[in-house]
Amino acid sequence: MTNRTITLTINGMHCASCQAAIETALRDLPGITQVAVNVSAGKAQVTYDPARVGLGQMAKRVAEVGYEVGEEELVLKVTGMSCASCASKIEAAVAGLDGIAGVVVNVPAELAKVRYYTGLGNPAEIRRAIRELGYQVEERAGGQAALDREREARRRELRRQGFWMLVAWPLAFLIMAGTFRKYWILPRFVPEFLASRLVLFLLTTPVVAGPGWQFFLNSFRGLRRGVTDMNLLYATGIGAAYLIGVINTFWPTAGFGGEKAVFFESAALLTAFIILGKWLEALTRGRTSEAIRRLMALQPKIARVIREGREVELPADEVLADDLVLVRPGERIPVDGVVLEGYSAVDESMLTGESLPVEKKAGDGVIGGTMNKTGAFKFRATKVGKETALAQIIHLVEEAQASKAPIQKLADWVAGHFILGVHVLALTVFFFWFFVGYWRFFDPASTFLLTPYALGEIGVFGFAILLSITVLVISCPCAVGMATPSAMMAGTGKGAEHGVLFKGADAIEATSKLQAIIFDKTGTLTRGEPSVTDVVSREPRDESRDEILRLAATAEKHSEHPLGEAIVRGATERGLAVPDADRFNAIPGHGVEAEYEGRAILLGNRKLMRERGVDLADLLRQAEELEANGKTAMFLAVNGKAAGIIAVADTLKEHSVEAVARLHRLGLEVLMITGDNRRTAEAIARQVGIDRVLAEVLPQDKAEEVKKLQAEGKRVAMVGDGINDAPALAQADVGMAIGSGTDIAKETGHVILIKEDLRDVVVALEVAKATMRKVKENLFWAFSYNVASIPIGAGLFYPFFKLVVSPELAALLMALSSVTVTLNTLLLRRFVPSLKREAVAIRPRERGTSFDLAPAPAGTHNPGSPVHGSR
Amino acid sequence: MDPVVDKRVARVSALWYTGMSLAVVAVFLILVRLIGGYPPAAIYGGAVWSFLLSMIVTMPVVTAHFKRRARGEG
Repeated sequence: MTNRTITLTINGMHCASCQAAIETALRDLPGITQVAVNVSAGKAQVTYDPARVGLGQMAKRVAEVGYEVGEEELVLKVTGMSCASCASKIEAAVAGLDGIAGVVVNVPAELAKVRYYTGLGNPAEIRRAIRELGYQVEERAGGQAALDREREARRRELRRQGFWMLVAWPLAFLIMAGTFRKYWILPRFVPEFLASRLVLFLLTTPVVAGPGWQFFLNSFRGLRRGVTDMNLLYATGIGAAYLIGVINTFWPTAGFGGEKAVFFESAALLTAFIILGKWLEALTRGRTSEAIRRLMALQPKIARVIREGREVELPADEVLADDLVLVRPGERIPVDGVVLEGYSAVDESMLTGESLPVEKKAGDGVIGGTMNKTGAFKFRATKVGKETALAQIIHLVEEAQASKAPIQKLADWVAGHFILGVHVLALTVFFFWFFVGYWRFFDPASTFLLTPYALGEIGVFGFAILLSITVLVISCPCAVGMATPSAMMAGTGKGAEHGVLFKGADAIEATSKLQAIIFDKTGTLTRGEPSVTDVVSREPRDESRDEILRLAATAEKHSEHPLGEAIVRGATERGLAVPDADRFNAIPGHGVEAEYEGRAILLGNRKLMRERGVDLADLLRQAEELEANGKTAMFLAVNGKAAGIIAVADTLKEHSVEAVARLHRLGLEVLMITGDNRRTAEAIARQVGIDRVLAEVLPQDKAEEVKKLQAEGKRVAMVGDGINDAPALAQADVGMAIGSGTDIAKETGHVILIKEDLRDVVVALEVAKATMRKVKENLFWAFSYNVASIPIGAGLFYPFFKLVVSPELAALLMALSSVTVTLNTLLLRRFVPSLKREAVAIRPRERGTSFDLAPAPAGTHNPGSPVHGSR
Repeated sequence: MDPVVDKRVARVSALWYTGMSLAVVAVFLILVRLIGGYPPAAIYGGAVWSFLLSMIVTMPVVTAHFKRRARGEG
């Protein structure tokens, strides 16, 4: 049987060692060929042979090492069941579907409770399967599975650790007060009995056995499977401190440091700080994936559909393709479709990043999840369920967040070997201080860092184990493991927020390193359709230019030639009435001739004019100038006399010039690739401000040109439309497919730009650079913290300063280190692309300056110069 | 992995990592003996701590090694 790849949601992971534990545990199962776990995303991508291993076995194995495969519950009201056999029939049918963890049907209650693995089971399929058996099924009101499963899991973790904090912290404060009772002003406030070792034992035991128990349990589960994780570090630290406290309380003469080396406060505070760290982590970690939650929240729940001539409300995931859907003002559009009737403005900013509402009329496409603002309309559903743009975007972002960047390899390797390395170091530290250090450097007057607590009578074993425990506790592989994925998650989310979809963490990393960008010309830099760019009249009056355009459009009104259509469109956009010609005749390869109000109109190229004896002497210089700029000049003659020129060219897209200028500002080389002849290509390149032109390149050779550029040692991005330029996009270090709109699934390339706005290339670069900056900051912090803290914890400076880091301080530092990485990542949420920042300042100025231009002409450098400018 | 093979791997691994951890303890005791002057509690405590840390270090490494061998990956 062929292998299958699935993505499991794993709950309960905290750091890279958890990742290693799960990977090891799953790899041991028969039939599993590949496992890749991403801690930040909470996902495990598993490739397996379904004939040899099932989802249930995987979930069980994950549970055995102390984690949980994410499940969701669907509670359905099933009517029409009459007996127990109905229940077993439904149970058997549902259990046979993909991704089902369990199903229980209760006949009297008319309920079916289905547990399915997050992302693998499909509620719509479950409902369909039950319906197909002849029962009626509907979602039980209020019993709908949580919209946001990640937030639910995080909330559970927050509640759990929050509860343990309520237990651990008050007790830890009492224990600390009792331990340090004789210092400072404490004797005045702390009752004497609290300093009793027995009371301290009674207070510490519930902390270790309650909040601390999870670490012992999880490390035992891991060790049973031969895997180690952070829990083991915590468990050894807490366990050793507690055990020494117990020995020195009940057998003070046993030689473990005696009455003055009771480490109860260490065990209690260690537990409290670790729990605090876990709580803070749960609090902050989820926020890095806020973008995906926001996208999920866009999915509407209800759709108003016309079925059998009646308007009915349905769950949005039950809308079928070709259903007629009604949308009222203020409602979210439930699925993708095409407007049939009505008119409205739709806010698509949540999916495309486009800040202005987009007008929708009959024939326009609408995207599910966007917000209808003003009018009501009816549309035909074209894409439903997993096919909608929103579902595809969510899927793409989820996949990207579950992927790993090359830069993560080192961090993963370090984090994966960290726990073992730290234990080896702890053993070495113990040996050193036990056999050498204590005898040479120990000073009974030495104290713990930031406390007045003298080490006093601590023996050789107590001192050596103290430093050994501190090493275990102070080290923080979590920070190393979280550094890259947390930033990548935030980065992919940030990109999605602005309509830029990175297909993986590797795409972000590659985008941040780009040196050259190649734009495909037609359809990418330009609109891909000709437009009127210049109208030249022999008489330099505006009215005569309008008249020339009107006459040309009249002659071309019924033409099917693209240039003719461009002229008619140009006249219409200029507000000119285009009447029907009295007579019309196309002259293939040359132009057209027509008659209108008794005037003979001739529109075409030089050859046609020459053949008809029209003298072009006055217009030739201007025509050559226009042609030098890559435009097609068409002459107009009226009654046999030359009247003017109409220049037509493929026009630049609205933001091409700005995008190229911004890329130059970022220090990138910008190139254009096209099949056009060099003169036309260079004219366009000049207008858009591009440095280098790759002209006369056949579509099939574009990938070869990309390869040549890569051979020059450059990291190259290719920007083009995702379908036609697929080979070149694939060859480039980063392929950017632009203007995909709702057809995301079809796109090739590493980065997808939803809008047809070239400036999003700049946004993609800025997001990628900001993300990688965050990754590097995080890695620097994580590595620096460990490199600095571990030697201090191991007592490297003890011989000079006679200060020891207490285990509880070590725990605090460790927790803060991990949280710092996440908080630093969260700063990425404040990132705004330069474009948006500047737009805020520029927009008010723009409002006061409008141009009467039709499309931004390729023939004009300044997008503000008029189409009808005479030359 | 086949449950029978799994059990055998677990048994062989346990023998190895326990043996290696005991070897570390032996080194610890030899050093104690050579240097001398340690109180008995420190010796027992040190031996237990050394054994515990050695088990934690060797257990996953040895188990993974034997699992790889059983799968024929070297």
